[in-house]
Amino acid sequence: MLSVQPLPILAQQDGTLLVSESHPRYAEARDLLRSIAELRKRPGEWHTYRMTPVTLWNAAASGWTADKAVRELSSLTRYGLPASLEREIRLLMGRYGKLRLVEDEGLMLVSDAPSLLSEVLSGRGFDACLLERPATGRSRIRIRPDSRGWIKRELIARGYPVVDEAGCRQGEALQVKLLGRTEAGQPIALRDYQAEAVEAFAPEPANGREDGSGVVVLPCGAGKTWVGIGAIARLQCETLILTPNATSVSQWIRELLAATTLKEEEIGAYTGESKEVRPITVATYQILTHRKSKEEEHPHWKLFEGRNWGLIIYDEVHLLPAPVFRLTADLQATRRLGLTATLVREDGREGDVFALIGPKRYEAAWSGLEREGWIARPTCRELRVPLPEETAARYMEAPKRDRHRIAGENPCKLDAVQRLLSQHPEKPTLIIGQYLDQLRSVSRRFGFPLITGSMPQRERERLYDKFNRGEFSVLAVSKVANFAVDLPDASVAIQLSGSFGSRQEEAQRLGRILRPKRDGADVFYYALVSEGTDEEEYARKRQRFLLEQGYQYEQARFESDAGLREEA
Amino acid sequence: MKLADTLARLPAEEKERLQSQPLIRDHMLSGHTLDAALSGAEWAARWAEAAKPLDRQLLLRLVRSYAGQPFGEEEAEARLRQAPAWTGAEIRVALARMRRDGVLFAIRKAWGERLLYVPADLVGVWQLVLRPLTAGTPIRKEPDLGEREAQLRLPLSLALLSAWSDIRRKGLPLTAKGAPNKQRLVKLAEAMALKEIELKGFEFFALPDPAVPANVALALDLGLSLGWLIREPQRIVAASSALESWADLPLAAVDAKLLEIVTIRYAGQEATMHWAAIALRAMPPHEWFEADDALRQWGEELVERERLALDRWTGLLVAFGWMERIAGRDQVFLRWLIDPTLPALRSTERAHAGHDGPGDGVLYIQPDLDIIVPPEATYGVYWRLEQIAERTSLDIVSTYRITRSSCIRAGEDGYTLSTLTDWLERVSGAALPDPAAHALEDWFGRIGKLSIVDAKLLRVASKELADRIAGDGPLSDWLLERLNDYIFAVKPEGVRVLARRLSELGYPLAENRDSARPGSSASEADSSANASEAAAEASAVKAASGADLGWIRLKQLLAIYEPDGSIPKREELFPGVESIPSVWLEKPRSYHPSTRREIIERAMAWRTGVRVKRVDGWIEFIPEALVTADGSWKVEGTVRTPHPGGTAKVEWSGDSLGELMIELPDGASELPRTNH
Repeated sequence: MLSVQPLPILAQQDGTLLVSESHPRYAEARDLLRSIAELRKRPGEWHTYRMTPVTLWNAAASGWTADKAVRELSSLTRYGLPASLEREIRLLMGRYGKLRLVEDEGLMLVSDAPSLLSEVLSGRGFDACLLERPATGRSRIRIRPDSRGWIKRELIARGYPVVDEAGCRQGEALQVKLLGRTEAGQPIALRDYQAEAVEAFAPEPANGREDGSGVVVLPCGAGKTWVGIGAIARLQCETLILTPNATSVSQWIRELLAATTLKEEEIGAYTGESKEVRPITVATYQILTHRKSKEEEHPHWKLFEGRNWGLIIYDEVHLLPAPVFRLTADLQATRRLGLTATLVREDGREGDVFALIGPKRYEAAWSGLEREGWIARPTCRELRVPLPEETAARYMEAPKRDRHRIAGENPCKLDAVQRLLSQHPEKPTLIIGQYLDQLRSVSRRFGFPLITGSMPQRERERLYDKFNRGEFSVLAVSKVANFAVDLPDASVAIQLSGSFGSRQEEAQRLGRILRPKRDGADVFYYALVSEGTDEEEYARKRQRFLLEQGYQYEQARFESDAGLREEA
Repeated sequence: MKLADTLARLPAEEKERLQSQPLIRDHMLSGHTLDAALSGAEWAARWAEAAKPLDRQLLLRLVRSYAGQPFGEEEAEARLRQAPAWTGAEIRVALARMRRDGVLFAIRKAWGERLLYVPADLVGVWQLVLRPLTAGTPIRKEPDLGEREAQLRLPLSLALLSAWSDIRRKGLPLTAKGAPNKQRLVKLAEAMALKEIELKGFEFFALPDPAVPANVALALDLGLSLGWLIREPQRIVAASSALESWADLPLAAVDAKLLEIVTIRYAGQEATMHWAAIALRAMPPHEWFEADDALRQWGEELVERERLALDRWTGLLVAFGWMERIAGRDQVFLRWLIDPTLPALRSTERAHAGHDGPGDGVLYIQPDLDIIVPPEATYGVYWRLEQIAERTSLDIVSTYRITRSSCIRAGEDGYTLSTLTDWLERVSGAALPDPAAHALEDWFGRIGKLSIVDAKLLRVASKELADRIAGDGPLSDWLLERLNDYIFAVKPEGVRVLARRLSELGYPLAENRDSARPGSSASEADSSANASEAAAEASAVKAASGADLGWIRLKQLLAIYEPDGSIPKREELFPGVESIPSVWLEKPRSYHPSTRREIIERAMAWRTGVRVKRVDGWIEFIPEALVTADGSWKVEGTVRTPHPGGTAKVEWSGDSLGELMIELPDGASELPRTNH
């Protein structure tokens, strides 16, 4: 009989798996799904997971068999497991391990399945990376060492994962240890989930688990940098760290010096202003992709060959620019660690992250970390601010392309800022905006310092430090502070305006205030949205990612005279 | 033609005659209508129990040979008297008896030819009542999964839903010759989960227009024949009442209804395929069985033709998402994914399973406005979601999403924030999550705020006159709005009244050539709305007449012929019976050779048997040919032996025949003796 028992999972033929969090067997179902699928969203009672070839291969790599996956899934699926899905599970998991890359006096592609090699290598483009012809029935084919990344990417695109057993270079050895305590005497230890992430990426040799490259997904504020530091300490090798901006470079260096035995002379910054190549080098994506003209080679790519790196860390891997992907394809002999809060890319190139950096090795859900107090639980509030009459008229008359800015720069938002600041006096507050004119107005009107992209890096860091020391409580920032800026005490964020419907930007901005506060204070995130304008729809789109992560926005309307009238 | 349509066309006196039949009368005494009495499996079983063996066997062979298709009496007699050595007379009398009993019905063509038929919805009932499945216990072991046809298969109910919904939204334009717009056909075909290639082998889907993809032809045919779609002169549209009668059914019940329709409508086009289709429906749901278990109903007569029919039909059932099929090494395994039981054979409990409520509390609405729709949701819920939300997946569990544009569409269809919210909260059994409620408030905040109204302008030469008009009571009903000192917007339908009143006031209207032109916007809108109503009415009239509204051209349409309720009289079945000596029919006697020959010839003309005395006793003999040679004659024919069904071919000289008499079949004497 087909099962119609009230079980927690609903399985779709396309691999979508829905699970009810209110079901008594939810925990059992969630643990199963985390092993064989990936969480796409959890906006309400029903969480959506998706089983993809990659998730099934990840499961196979962790020791799951198709039989086990089918059996366990069937036992928890309400309307039975669709036959087509069962067949897909068996087919895809059966392919894992059929192709392997091994080192045997050169790089060899190996298969135990007769004729598989000649079949999969018959596609276009493979000839150039083979050192031998793929005759029928051969079980080993020698391939060019420099095609290791390309061949893995192409074969996985054709549905055949390659188990890379050719190993990574160890890199130049480097003595690194985590300190027991900070200079101020605070104990230093990885949190449980950070230690689990390090272990998932680079297991202790004694644990006998496969190691390799991959991605660790942790929410903003959960301390991804510490996972990177833990990985360096575990692998004890020279490491290249790539980050989105110069502020983040400084913060990495500061954290490394504060938490490890590394000395200043062992750590270099490779940015627009400084070109130090040292055993631990922290660089920006921007400098790597910089070149004077499109015809010119990328002059800074030599950094990858500048030392014998044993590990490359890609911070905020979802921001990785396309040229760095191309470069990464040639770096498959070097171990790679991606760190991110979200695998969602606005350009939809999540697949490239998997193919070239590696599979997801570890993910901690935001809600779990919140429950355990590792990240703060924010109150998210969308504040609808009416447009003044004149601005509303200008908005109506303006061409569509100009409306977003008019709505974003709604002058009444400044009144709303004033009201919000009065509700959170003395709380460390960030005012974040898209438009510099608007930010300058805020800065002038209230006398807050302002950080923008045109400010020299040194000056920015001076202001961040002052904010962190509590010398002033409100800081206005442009989008330069969207990513990789560590402002641990910020507990209120007011978003004045944003770049259209970027889901990623909303998540990152919220992330600025998610560090748990020393005094346990609540944190608040306000998104100011001009009422009756296209900003409402953009705001909805921006909030979608957070909604899917289980955050809910309250909605309120700002009324300049009568105060805030709660609607939600 | 189905039983209900048949009965609806019968003259009152014929219905009375049927109601007076003892078996039917008994059923009606227990509260059944004539339709219910005649369509129930219980009545069929009682009739079969009381019927003569010949009648039972004959009906089974009719069902197998013709399904619900009409047949001529002579053709049936010629076809069926071969194997079991039935006489033509026995067949004719049995057919007449079955007509009397309400098992068979007849129509008469304009030129007098009479055709008989078994009501299409009862063919399966008779097949399973007369030949119950005895062999074939379903196997319990799961066959090797690797061989299963494991493609994405949606139940037909959902495949049709997407096509019908698309037609509801955009219509399907027709050319002047009635052919559907090709671009729309391509889009409809591509959007359907059921693909054209899956209907390969069923050529009748290409009728009447081979340019229409088979999957779309199927959707049109079922939609039109059910009345969900209406054919207007220039387009096909969805009826406003579409799916109303199925709205409370869960998907499984809708698919069971569709199975019944598809079996009658498509399998019924070929008797062998219909037989196979019904045989399959005797198998239990959700259990694997071997295809041969279903085929065994044919017993030892199983031939390649039946195997092919079964194979084609199961292919269609698999494509419709109702069955899984695994081709093993030597055998084909099948499993129903829905309950295939014939409605007449379904127990009351099962027939009502899942029909308890209108589907309240069956949806899950997420804060991001994704809607999760489990299969328990009713068809009406799906149909409405198609109207108000974007479909994101149709699957075992389907998902929809409410978006701004879907709300705009819903607004155009008359939904307001409160009607939409009320409905969503009712079917989800919970208040909308806050983010979802806020989103709807935002979107509906801008929906329905603007509207375009048909109006005409009344221009007035002076402000003073305009003021007088504004103050005139009789005119106020027709004035929509004063636009400025000199111009009024007036209701287009009130122009004539307005003109008359203004004339009464002494201000006849100046002629306006623009408004005098035909095809002004208001009249176009009116005519478009009228066309829909007229088409719906025309469809209703056509349906009431029994005409088929479907897209596909089916075989014989019985509804176009007059019903023939008369029961053949003895003289009609045995011409001249009243003019022969009655003793020929009553008692064996010795006759002069010329009389013997005359009796034999008469029996041959009536295709009946004679009872004849031979040296070894009384013999039942069916004369088939009479040969004259050298002044004597001999007769060839078949002798019925004492073994059941046993026969032997013989050839006797006329001289060797002893006493004899003509044997009319049992029941012939009960037939009325004269025609009306």
